[in-house]
Amino acid sequence: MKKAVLPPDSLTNEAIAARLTNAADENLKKGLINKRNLVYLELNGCSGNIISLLNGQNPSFEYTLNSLVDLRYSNSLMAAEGEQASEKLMAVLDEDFILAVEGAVALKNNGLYNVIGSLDGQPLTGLQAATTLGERASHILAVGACATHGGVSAAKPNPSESVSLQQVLTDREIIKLPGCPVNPDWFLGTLAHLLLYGEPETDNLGRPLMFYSTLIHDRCPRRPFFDRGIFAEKLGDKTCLFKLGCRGPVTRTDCPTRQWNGHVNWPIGDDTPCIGCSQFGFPDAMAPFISFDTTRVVKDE
Amino acid sequence: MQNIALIRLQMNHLVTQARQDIHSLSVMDDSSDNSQTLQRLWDTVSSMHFLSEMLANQAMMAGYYFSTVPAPALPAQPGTAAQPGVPPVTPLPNQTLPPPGDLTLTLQELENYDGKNGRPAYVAVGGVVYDVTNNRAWAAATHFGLVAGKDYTAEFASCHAGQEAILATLPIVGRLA
Amino acid sequence: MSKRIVINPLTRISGFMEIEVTVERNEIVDAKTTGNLFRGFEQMLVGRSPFDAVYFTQRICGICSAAHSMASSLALEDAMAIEPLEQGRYLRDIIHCCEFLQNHIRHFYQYTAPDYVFIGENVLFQADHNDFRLPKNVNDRLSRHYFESLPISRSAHQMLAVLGGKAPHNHGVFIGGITTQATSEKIVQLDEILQTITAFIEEKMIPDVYDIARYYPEYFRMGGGYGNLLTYGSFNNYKELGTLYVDPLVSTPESEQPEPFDENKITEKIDYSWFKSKQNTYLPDEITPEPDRDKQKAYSWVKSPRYNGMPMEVGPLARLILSGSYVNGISAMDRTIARALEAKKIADIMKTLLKEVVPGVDMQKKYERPERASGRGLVDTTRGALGHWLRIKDRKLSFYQIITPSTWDFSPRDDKGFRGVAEQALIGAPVDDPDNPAEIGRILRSFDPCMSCATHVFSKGKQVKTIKVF
Repeated sequence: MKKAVLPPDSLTNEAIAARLTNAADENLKKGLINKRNLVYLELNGCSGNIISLLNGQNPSFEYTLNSLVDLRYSNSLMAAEGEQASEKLMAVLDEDFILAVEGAVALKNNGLYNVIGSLDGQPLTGLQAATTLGERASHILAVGACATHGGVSAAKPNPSESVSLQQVLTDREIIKLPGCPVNPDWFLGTLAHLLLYGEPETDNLGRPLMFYSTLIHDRCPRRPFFDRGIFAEKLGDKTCLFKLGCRGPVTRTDCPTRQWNGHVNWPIGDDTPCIGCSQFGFPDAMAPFISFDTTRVVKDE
Repeated sequence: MQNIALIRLQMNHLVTQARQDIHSLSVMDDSSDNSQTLQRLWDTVSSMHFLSEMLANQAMMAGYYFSTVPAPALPAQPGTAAQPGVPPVTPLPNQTLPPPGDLTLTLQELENYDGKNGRPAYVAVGGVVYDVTNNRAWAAATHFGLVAGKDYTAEFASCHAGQEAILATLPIVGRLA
Repeated sequence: MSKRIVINPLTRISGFMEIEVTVERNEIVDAKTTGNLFRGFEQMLVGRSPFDAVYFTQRICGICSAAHSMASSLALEDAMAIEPLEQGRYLRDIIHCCEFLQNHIRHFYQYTAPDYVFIGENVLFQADHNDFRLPKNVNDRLSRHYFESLPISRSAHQMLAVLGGKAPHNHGVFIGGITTQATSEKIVQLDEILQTITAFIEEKMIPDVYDIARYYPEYFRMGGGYGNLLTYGSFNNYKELGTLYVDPLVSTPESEQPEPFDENKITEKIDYSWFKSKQNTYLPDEITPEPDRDKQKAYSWVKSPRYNGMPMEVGPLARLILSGSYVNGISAMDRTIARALEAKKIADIMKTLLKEVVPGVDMQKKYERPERASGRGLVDTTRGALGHWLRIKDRKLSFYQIITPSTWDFSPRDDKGFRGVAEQALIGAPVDDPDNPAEIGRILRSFDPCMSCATHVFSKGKQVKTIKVF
């Protein structure tokens, strides 16, 4: 046990910062949060959600790793490789764990279109991993569009026959966090809620209400332009992007207020339409993303 | 008449509304139903923002911009020339005068109302032709993979079963021949 | 006696990859790489609106999505005969710089460092081997930097979002440049973050990589491969600034100096890939072959791009050598060092471009979808040469071909008997302890493989008898 700061302890900024961090660590050990096991499976997708999670700030990914969960498996981050990695994954089955899955489940050829490792010399498919772990997990989070409903991995003509996690785990309750990618706050906030207070309140489609309750359109700073019928004709315009195909009116997230990457910007702030990446049905039902042919063609514009 | 006096009247009304909401938020014990009030506050502030922008424009353009009442124009027929100089103005949904509704269109004619190039976007359900030009779920005249200018009786029945109320909110332009 | 080693999954990469090597007398004599993920973007894109390609193709890859927005925007500009304003190029390339910085920092600290540095007791960092040689004080510093790098790479994505709306999968890169306009506030916001990132690269990342090199010197003699290098050009050919980094160049060990790159010399081969077509060698804009899983001899669904018939290495080391700014050699360690040195170079380029940005320039127009057109976008991105080839018919995409950097580096053999670049780089490498082989992962990660980008499939029936070594 370290003692309180007394001279001649160093008084440099670094030393003080280190002492504060140590104190915080010790407080955590005293039990504000009991760390739980997290298994993070990447399946048929682009691994963009784990990259988005590294972008997390509230809480940060470092805090999540050090103070919220024991990350037992992550293809992108774990030091182990090969069958030893797969064995670590299987070892979790006997313990309590939360399962987070990004990417869709590829069904074609019995799952062989997405092999995530090997076990006893046999390929371990995403399908096998999803069902085996999904049956035992205490809570399941579907992270990102591919996991929640197939997403881009299941886009027409769906060559890998990808489906959502729910379609292979029909009996399990799954918290769904759509988005392409998920906003790190949506994931880390849901995870924190799970650890502190249990499962968050969700809508009838399994989305946590604290992040997915309100239509983008209803909080859009450009809403007055819509109400008055003042529409952008091209990207870069500062008015309502509805005529270019904005899916804000059918997409429920807190993007207008939360924004992205440490609250610096969001697609509509970038003068582009929302493409509904957090709406079920993305991408096919949200296409075309950008249309220029709805507004009048005016000569000499 | 959208002159400065009217805008001022609207602005005062919005300020009163906002103060009322702030007051009720401050005295409300049960925080569970304050989301509705917050939503109204948000909308109020949005409207105030719009009005202040309009005032600023009006000041800059010396009354030119809003000197005429923006007619709640009926959707322009395909091919008619645009009104020059004035940005497209569409009325608030709940202020829309019901269009005549006496248009009779064949399926082929309906296809012209595809929402392209400034044309209105119409769809047909159950023989009735509806205007979805500025319907919020029909951005760029497309809706969950559907494009305007077609008969969607079957699609509506399969996706919006029991939600006929949706149709009641859409302006009717006519019937299918 | 020969021994077969299979590593699956190869962790700390983007996507899924399996590696199978044959070891004789503690030396690798054969190697095969397999990507374990198939989605089929080229098929998905047919029939979509051409404009949607810019946002859609980004979903190929979560760690390098901006790269695909660059290549697809360039391909559409080529098809629509649009020349972007120079201001548009600057801003778009600034977004691309942010992507480089995010990638290189994350690849070095989160993907590479755990191969050489014992990061900590956290369950996530339990390694399979014990070859950690750094003295305690150096190891402690590097493992601290593992965590310090997280806010830095995060801020690189934050810069990307300032101009691009969000990251990953930005909205900003588009035909004509970027969608929004620069403002003085955004420019100084970027400059401030960039200063912090630059300081981190100079004071921590570059010294750290040289510290690793000092204690693992044999990696300068491992993982060399063919020595054929290629770049499509990077931050080059500006009207006023000229070339800030490297022009489109190629070289082989025989060349006295790099030669100009000629895009007509690119072919793709499918002799050893699970694809069929009327010909096994074709031009990128010619054919997207049909899958055929029963094809004889084939052992992978990765196609084999070749330049002038040769496999070519692409990526930071290739660019640095071709631009004349790195001469040490070609090896696993040189590749890792090149990534850190390039991070500094990219930060400097971004600073130069930021100085040229004029606020308030709107570069967007109301574009019309062409009835019929074709185009290609070739650009060097984080991991190397990326190409998109597309055709438009009836105002819709009718053909799309993507050749990613990781396809160049991780292709299978071809009809001439050439192995893929990474396969070749493994040949001859020593494996000290075949039961705990640290070398294979280190050599492969030096290429920064991105299997999300390489749209391969797993080949069923390839159940070789393997000696389980893990």
